[in-house]
Amino acid sequence: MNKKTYLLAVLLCIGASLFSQSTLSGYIKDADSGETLIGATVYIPSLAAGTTSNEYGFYSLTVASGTYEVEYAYLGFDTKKMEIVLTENLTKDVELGEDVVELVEVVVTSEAEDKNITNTEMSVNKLDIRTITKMPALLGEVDVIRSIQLLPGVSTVGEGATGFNVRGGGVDQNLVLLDEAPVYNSSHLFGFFSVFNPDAVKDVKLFKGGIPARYGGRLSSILDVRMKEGNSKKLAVSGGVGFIFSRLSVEAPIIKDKASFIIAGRRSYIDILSKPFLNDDLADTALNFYDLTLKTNYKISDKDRVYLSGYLGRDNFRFSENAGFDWGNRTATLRWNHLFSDKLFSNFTTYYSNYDYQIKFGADNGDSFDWDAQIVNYSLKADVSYFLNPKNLITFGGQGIMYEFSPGNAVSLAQGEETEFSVPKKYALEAGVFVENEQTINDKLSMQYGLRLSYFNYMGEGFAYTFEEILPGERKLLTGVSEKFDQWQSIENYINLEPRASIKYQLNSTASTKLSYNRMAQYLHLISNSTAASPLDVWLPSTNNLKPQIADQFAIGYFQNFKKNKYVTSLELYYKNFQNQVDYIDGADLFVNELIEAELLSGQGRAYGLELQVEKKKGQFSGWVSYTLSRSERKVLALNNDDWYASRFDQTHNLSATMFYELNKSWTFSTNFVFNTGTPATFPTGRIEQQGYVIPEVSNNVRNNVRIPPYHRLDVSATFRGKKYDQKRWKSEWVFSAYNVYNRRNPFSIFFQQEEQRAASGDPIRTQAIRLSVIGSIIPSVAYNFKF
Amino acid sequence: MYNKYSLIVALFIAIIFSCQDPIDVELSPTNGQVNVDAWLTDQSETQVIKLRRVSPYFDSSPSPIITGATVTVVDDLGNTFEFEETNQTGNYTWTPTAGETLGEVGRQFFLNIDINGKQYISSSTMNRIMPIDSLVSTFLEEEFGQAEGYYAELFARDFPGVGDTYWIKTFKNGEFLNKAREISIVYDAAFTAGGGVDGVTFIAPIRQSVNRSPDLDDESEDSFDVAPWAAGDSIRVEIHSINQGAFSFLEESFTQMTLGDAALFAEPPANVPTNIIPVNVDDPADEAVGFFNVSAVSQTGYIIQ
Repeated sequence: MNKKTYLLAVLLCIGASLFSQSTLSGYIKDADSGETLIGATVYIPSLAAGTTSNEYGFYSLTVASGTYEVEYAYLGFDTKKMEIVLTENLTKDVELGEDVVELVEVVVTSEAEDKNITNTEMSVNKLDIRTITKMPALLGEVDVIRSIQLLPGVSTVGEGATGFNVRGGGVDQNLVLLDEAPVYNSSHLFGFFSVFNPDAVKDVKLFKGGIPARYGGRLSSILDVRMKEGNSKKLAVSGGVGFIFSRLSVEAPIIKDKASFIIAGRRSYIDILSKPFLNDDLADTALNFYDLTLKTNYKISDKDRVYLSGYLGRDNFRFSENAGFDWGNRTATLRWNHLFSDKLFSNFTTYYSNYDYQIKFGADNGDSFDWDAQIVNYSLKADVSYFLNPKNLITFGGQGIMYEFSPGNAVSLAQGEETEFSVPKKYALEAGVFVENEQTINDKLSMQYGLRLSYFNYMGEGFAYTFEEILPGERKLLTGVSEKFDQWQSIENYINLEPRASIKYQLNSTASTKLSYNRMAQYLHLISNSTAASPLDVWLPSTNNLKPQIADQFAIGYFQNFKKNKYVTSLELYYKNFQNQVDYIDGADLFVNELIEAELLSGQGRAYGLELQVEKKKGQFSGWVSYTLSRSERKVLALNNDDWYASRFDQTHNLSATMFYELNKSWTFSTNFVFNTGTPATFPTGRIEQQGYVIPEVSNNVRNNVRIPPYHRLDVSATFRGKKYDQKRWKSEWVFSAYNVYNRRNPFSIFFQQEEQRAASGDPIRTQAIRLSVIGSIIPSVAYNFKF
Repeated sequence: MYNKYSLIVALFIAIIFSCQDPIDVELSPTNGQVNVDAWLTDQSETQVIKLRRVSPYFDSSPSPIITGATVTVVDDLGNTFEFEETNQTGNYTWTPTAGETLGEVGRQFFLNIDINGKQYISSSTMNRIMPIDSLVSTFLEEEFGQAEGYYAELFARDFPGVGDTYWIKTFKNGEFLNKAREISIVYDAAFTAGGGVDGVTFIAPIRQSVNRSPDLDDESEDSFDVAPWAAGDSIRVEIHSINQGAFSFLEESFTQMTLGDAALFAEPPANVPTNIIPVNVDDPADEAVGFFNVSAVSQTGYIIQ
């Protein structure tokens, strides 16, 4: 055969195969509740071709026409194998039943179980809500954010601190999404509990690196929390009573298999329990936090579904009628899934998100000092997935976000004289377009690559200020105020090109290596100068003075599974470079300050580390161990003598182990152990005596030069279910747990002060170091959960 | 003084299992810089400037003194005030004749210090001070979180015009209330710059700042934010006009001395500012810390009964 005829033959073959291709598509669901399953696999062993279901449970696989055995699998569920005759495009919705065989090891060699090595994704952790529920929890309250802190690369500055830190990034560098709407403060009661009600959460996915182009807006991570859609088969109620919250959720079909809803609420009840013990003076006090999550969906046709979800949460702390504070998030998301064809899946989202707080320092009716602040945004978003063939999945789309910032409105009343002072609102528009492709080159090589173009417009109405830096590290001097900008008129705009890529190379059937790079741009800044972020911190947009934050991250990883995927291991190395990191002048005035930009400094950051995770997936005994060795540093002109210093959330070693043990059908045990290097701190060296005070002094102006003692803690929990749990309609369980079992006083910080005793005049003033422990003792708890 | 997180921290402490206990830590040595404590007033009484060295933080023995320095204050009219050292104590004093003062509101003062050939300079303007309208003390019954006793309130009205800064000093039985928490500084009529509360009577928390912080070593007082006065106590309150630099110094000093009160929301430890400028210094041990400020003072006081 000469070359020409060969080429012709090849072309004909390709043409022929193109002509006779068929698409198998549909939704994968939980047989029991009708909930769609995210990340379930569809695999055709004879072709070695497969795909996974997307965030809405949809899959699409285009292969040559023929008859195939197809496997549908999802971890913790029975794998379903079926013969499918694919002569033309076929829609096949599949329901998987929960794997009820316990204690007996089931050997299923489905593709699902080695996804961690075959998938292109790296630096991604997925936590099943059923796993989160089994972990020992503080006061027995199952919590999403506290659970992800047990993953490699995720840390916190200490107990009770809001948010989390990922790979050396700040707490404001995590995009926390609840059904696609951003949540600006993910905490109840500071950082003790997160705003996600576990009864309503379906799936939690954390991207620490290799972030796909469809996500943008934050530097360090994306925490994608998806809510349940609601049982579409039957009425299901679940709830629980714990030390802090009582919870109740109800889900039911509205029209069977077509429409369903879930409504889930939680409320703390310390105040209710204590009410009878409070006298009339305290009748106006309030101390509670609650949240309400609601979601409903409607299947209009096989091609169209709509989802409406909402969240409302509030923390209320009132000491009297006039003094107290409260804060909370509100979000609403409306989504429309539309199938243009079997291969073209689209989702359109619009959301609203609001975070606000109010604080009142009131003495009486004639005297008070109140302020409030708020961030509101509205967004429109479209994502289209084109399941071109088993080797290419192309996704593209765009998003626009409108922001309104109210950095502070203060009203002061002194002897009945009112003074009102508001920092003018700020407005901004963020937009992004992206395209990405997930491509399988051959058995060994696959890649995901994409590009995101982001645009930010800081706009009127408002004024632009210009400042001059007199001395580095000192308050900047206001040199000019612009003419007033009209509404929508651009004051400053920024554009960034954000390339993203990851590559997987399969070394053999049980090991692979992966490589990724991503650039992220962040246009919002959380203005917080305290050790832990507080609910009173405000968000600001990038302005003519405040530049967008940029981060570049490189990561390389090695993934290997042992013993038929019973043991899953990963090793990753990363390096991150940060630009335009916000820092603050000494004594910065960040509250209700119109000229806040004069108080801000800009610096650079770098972080690098090694993450190791070993997980045992199956068996009576399961769990994982995570270890992170890392460094996170900042360099800001005029701080620490212009030299690099460890950031507040730098922890050299961070080790955690989470283990589960199923003793028998009635008893399950779990335990967490956490160890990490103490966080950096600045200790004084000398004392400056002035006017009878002793003021601490740090010679040579160093920062974060000392470390507080290491943090370690052990938690245990035991869950008891009746012997006939599975057969009963009313299923209940008792959870006994103990946090900080060996009663360690882990320091949150060490501070220095004059001794409390009042020194008589002329007497020397003695000083001391104090260890502050947020949780300084063992905390036992009992919770009761039920469902029917 | 007010702490912006005080409400939150109070709540935090109340409901969380937190605890605080003293521990031993080792600190790096200090450079032992020159510490200038120079807070002068328009009162016709002995004015003192103390020269010390910074000493190790935990060292409660008297700081090393600096003797043999030359200390003078000159005003913008050319008057010179010589501050003479008293008996090698490191305390440099100027004693006026009857009725004599350093000067009046509006005068600018220049400080010159010479320590073995090393020179330090600074300057301060004496700012305007308002008269005190009244100092009221009211007897309150016991309530939850409030002990029975007399609570004082200071009424004074800020001058119109943004940027007046004051330091309120309270004395009980002649003793200055010198706990860090008792620092009371005022920007116009409220706490901080940029608050826009100008030209009115001091806001309530500032009016009520002339009370004592409880002494936690006295077990009868530990549950109250503010300790009351008793009949027979002598109360005296001074309002000092201060420079904006001095306001920042006291504000930062307050923050740095009360980081523990801010608990989780503490700012990073940092050095407080100074307005003492070394002229010909290159050794870190000769650098300067501290403050020079000249105030005009309004004061009032009486025996509570």
